[in-house]
Order: sequence, then C-alpha cells, then structure tokens
Amino acid sequence: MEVIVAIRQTPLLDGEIVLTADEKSVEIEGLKYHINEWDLYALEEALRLKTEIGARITAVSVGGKATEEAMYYCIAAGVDEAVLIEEESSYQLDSSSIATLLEKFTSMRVFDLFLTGVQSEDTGCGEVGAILATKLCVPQAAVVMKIKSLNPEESIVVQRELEDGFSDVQRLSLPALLTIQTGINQPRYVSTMHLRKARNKGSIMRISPLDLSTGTGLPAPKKTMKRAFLPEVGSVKLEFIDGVTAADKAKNIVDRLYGMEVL
Amino acid sequence: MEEQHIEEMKKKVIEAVSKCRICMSCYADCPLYESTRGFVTQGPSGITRALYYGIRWDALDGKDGQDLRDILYACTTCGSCEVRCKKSACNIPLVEIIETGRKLLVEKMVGPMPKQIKVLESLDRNGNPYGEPAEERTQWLGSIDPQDTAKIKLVQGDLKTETLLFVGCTSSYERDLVNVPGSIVKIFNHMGVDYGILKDEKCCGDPALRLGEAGLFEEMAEKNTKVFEQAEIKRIVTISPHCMSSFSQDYPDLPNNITIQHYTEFFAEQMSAGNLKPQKSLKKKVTYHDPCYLGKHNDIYETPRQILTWIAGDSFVEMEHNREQALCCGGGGGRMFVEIEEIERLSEKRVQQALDVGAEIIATACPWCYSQIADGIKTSGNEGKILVKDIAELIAESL
Repeated sequence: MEVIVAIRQTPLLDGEIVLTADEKSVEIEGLKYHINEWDLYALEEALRLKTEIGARITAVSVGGKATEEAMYYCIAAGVDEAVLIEEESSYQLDSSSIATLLEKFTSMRVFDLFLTGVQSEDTGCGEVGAILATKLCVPQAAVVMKIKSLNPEESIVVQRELEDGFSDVQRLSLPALLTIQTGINQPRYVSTMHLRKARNKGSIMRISPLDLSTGTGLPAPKKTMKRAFLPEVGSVKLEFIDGVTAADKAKNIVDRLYGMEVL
Repeated sequence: MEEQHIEEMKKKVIEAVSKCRICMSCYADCPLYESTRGFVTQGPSGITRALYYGIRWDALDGKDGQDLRDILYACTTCGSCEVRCKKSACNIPLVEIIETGRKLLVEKMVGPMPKQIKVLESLDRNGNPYGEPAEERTQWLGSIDPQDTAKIKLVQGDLKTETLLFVGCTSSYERDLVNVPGSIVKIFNHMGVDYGILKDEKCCGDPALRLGEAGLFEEMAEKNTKVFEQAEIKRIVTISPHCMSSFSQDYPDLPNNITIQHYTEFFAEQMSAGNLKPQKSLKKKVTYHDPCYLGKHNDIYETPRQILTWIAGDSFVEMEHNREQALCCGGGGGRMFVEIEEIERLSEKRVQQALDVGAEIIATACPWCYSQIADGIKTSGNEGKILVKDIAELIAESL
C-alpha cells in the first residue's frame, strides 16, 4: 500500500509577529519553524499504517531550504521517502497553488491513500486537502478522528469529527484523501540521535516546480492577501492576589471581584 | 544511536539484572512501591525485571513497549533501592538500569511518556523544560532587592567570572521560588563574593538525561561546557542538586579544574572559615527533607544539617525517615512533568512526617523538592500549620 503524507513547516507562534511593510504578509526573518501540528498527527497515522500493514510512506512538502529540517524529521521518524518541492516563496503561495503542486507531484505516482493535516497553524485555511482531492478526483473525508478499518485493495472506513461532539462514519473507496485531526493518535518523539543520523545519512528527493509541468513554474494564485493586521491589544492590568493560605487567597479574589462589581 | 551501541546497552542491562537475587529488600524504601498499589512492577527489581524480559523477548516497541514505558517512567530515580542493594552486597545499579531502559525506549520511539515530549521539545528549543521563553530567564532579577541586583555580574560575550552561580530552570522561572535565588544573591553580596550569573544560561540537561534523551543531553552538555570554558569559570555553585549532580557526574568533558558545588557545600565551607556568621537564630522548630540528588546520589547528608544546626540549634529536629532512608518528594526522574497514579501523594506523606515531629518549617535544598512539598502542604490541608523553606532563605533571614 502506498501512502503519501503532506507536510508543512510552519512558524513557531511563541514569538512576536512582525508584519511586512506592505501589510500583506509577516516578516519571516528570524522566525523559528516546526512541523505543522496537524501534519504531525497525519505523519504518525501514516507510520502506524507502515507498522501495522507494511505501507510504504512518502512525505512531501512544498518549501524552501528551511523545510529540509522538516524532511529530515520525517526520515528520522521512519518514512521511506522524503520529497521536497523546492520553492523559497512557499509561505506566499495560496492553498490552490500548493494543492496544484502537490497534485502535479502525485499524478506522477501511484498511491492508495493521501493524508494531510486538517489545517495549518499559520494560515488556518484548511483548504489544501479539499482542493487536492478535487484535483486528484478521489473521495475525501475531512477532520478524520479515527481510521476504523482498512481494506488495502478496496476501501477505508473512517470516523469524522462533527460539531457538538457528534461524529459520523464513512466508507471511502481507495485511492482516497483524508485530512487528519489532532488527537487521532499520539505522535512519537523523534530523538536527537535519530535526527542526527537522518541529517548525516538521509537523503531528500528535491523537485523543482518547473519539473512538475506547471507551465512557467508556479501555478497562478486564486487568492491574494488584501491586508494582514495584528489584533489591537487593549491595556491589560495584571494583579497578583496575596494571601497566606489558599482560603485567604480565594476570599481576597472574591472580595476583589465584588469590589469590581463583577459579582 | 548506532545499532552496536544499542546492543551494548541491552547486554549491560541483561548482565546487571541477571545478578539480582530478587531478595526484594529494594522494595523496603522504594517511594513508588510505597505510594502505589504495590504491584511487583511498581518496585525496583520488578521494574528492572520487566525491562530484562522486554529485551529478552524483543518486546521494546508497540503495545508491549508502551506497557514497559509506563513501568519504567514511573520511577523517581531517587536511588533508595541502590542504597538498600549495596547493603545486601549485590550492589546492582538499579537506577542506571532503569535510565538505560528509558534510553532504549526513546530510541525505539516509544519513550518518553506523552506529557514529557513537550519537556524535551522545550529543552531543545528554549533551553528550559517549562516551555518558557529563553529571553525571560533572568526576569527573576527584577523581583529581588535592586541593591542586590546591582552587584551581580551578568556574564556574556568576553566577560569572565571565576565563580558562577548556576541558577537553574526552576529557580529562574518559578515565581513562588524567586526568594531562593534572591536569598543566595543576598548572602553572596553580604560576604562580598566576586561572582557572576550567565545572561543566557541554559538548562544543565538533567531532565533530558533522566527521560532517556541521551543525544539531547550530550548536545546541551557540550554547549554548556563551551560556555563555562569561554568564561574561564573555576567554580560553579548550583542552586539545584540536579544541576550539581549532572555537572559532576554526567558531563563527559567538563574540565577538571572546575569545582562543582551545591550552594549548601559552599556556604558550609564559608561558615567553617568564619566568613559567614548567622546573626539571628531561628526560633521555630525546623526539620530537614533530604533531596535525593544531594543525599542518595551525592552522599551530602551532613552539610545541610550542619548549616541548620548553626542557624536553629536545638530547634532542629529529624523526621522519622532521614538521610539514606529519607522519603523522596516524588518529583525526580522526570516525574515533575507527569502525573503518576498514587494512593497517597509522597509529598503529603513527607509533610505528615514533619508534622509528627512537631516541625513548623520543612527546610530543603532543592527547587523541585520545594515545589512538591509546597503542593503537599496545600493538598493535605496543612496551610498555616507548616511552611516549606529553602535553606538559603533561612541563612539569609539569619543575617
């Protein structure tokens, strides 16, 4: 069984975000990156299929030099092949362009299952999986919280997360595309030793968008950013409530809340 | 990790566990066995035997590996079992075996426990296990007396210092503990010590090592060693016994000319030399909780007691379990970052032992013990009846 999993490297959101002068993007200089959280769960789900039924796993990403680290992570975690579609401006690409590049790559392959994360931490669009499934003409299940059963020659049964704690169960014929929800599994910890080994001995297959028959290189965007802005932060007053015991502190908090006429 | 090294680790475990006579005497002081349901795998020789069969039966991954992980990571690595085993003449390095098992599980991508993964990621990314921003590490300086702050040499770049106060992660970030580094700074300044702290201090790596992430520990040790050499440090005084233990026992390339001391050792030395004299004696009844990485792992039992006797005189009392028999607080071995099911919390049990001897203060000398005992006082409903204090705070109050 051939499984492809899409990986995106996203900026860590624990630092200060600075907008570009044209207010259409964020300054990427100095940002630290990691693998998009949803994609880590998709990767783990793929690796689970490798362990359980011997699936062959290919990780693919659209990204620049910095994305190499994410690819080495995938190799260290246990994928059979890591493919980087090299595009330094990947953070400016819209969902449609990324899905087009992934579709061009996938059309050169035979696959049974394509996994993506539900969404990415940076843009939060949640569109790539749906657009890609449409382009590949394969059935798609979104926000998958469990793979219930799998017949590698035929179909897959998945449980999807709906609103208000509801879920449904769907059977999809293969090949299919699933967008994976966080919490479906427990992503493994990839040790420093494994990462070191992957960096030293692992090999990343590099593909240029030009090699993917996309005409001039990059697909034309369907969506452009009009304006990006940071939410206005009001003045926040922080106060530590004193008290020797927890009971004292609780009483002081309640008194304070009464004083503020919140209670 | 190379396959050969993994096989060597397995062989070492098999050989060491094979020498165990299963006398079960290691269970007598095991805090895990004491505080759980008493399954055989919740005590030292049961844990190491589970690992033995995990290796023998090639069951280190998958569901078997996860079961083994839950057994191995429940240990506090306090070292009580080794003390017992030494007395029974078997002298099996039980903690080392357990930590080797953790390394094997990390290499199999089964370890550590899910909640501990963030700890390792934060160590790598932020240089502390708490997910706190690296740039906020020295913020505690803003909470202490500005006159004391002014005398601290912030070491970075080409600046050198012979004596380094290694603050550690918990003392740097834990708001409730700010008085501990604050007290040490006050005492240093009182004595006129020429010392510095690192502006960009990073974790010693102890949590990585205890959780079985040997590669990350190696990298952290290498970076810290380089920093110490560049700053031409000759003496490192640590606040946490865990940092002290890592530097002195686990750093492979730390230059021999650097003296590593826990602050209790440094202050006891200064007191003996007459450079540090308590002016006010403590009127309250105080007892001492031995941190495992100061006592059982480094054999420092008497120095803290010497200080407490200087400060408190006859008001210093011992708990039922002390020195080698001291009960662990429950926070070691990476357990600070994960909840292990306990019938009775170890920290609450320790608080009760202190109350039983009429103590009004539980003194300790480890930030993790401090936090665990502070929690134990609250959760056992003993707030207002007893206080936890670091020895450094008691010294500072006596000046």
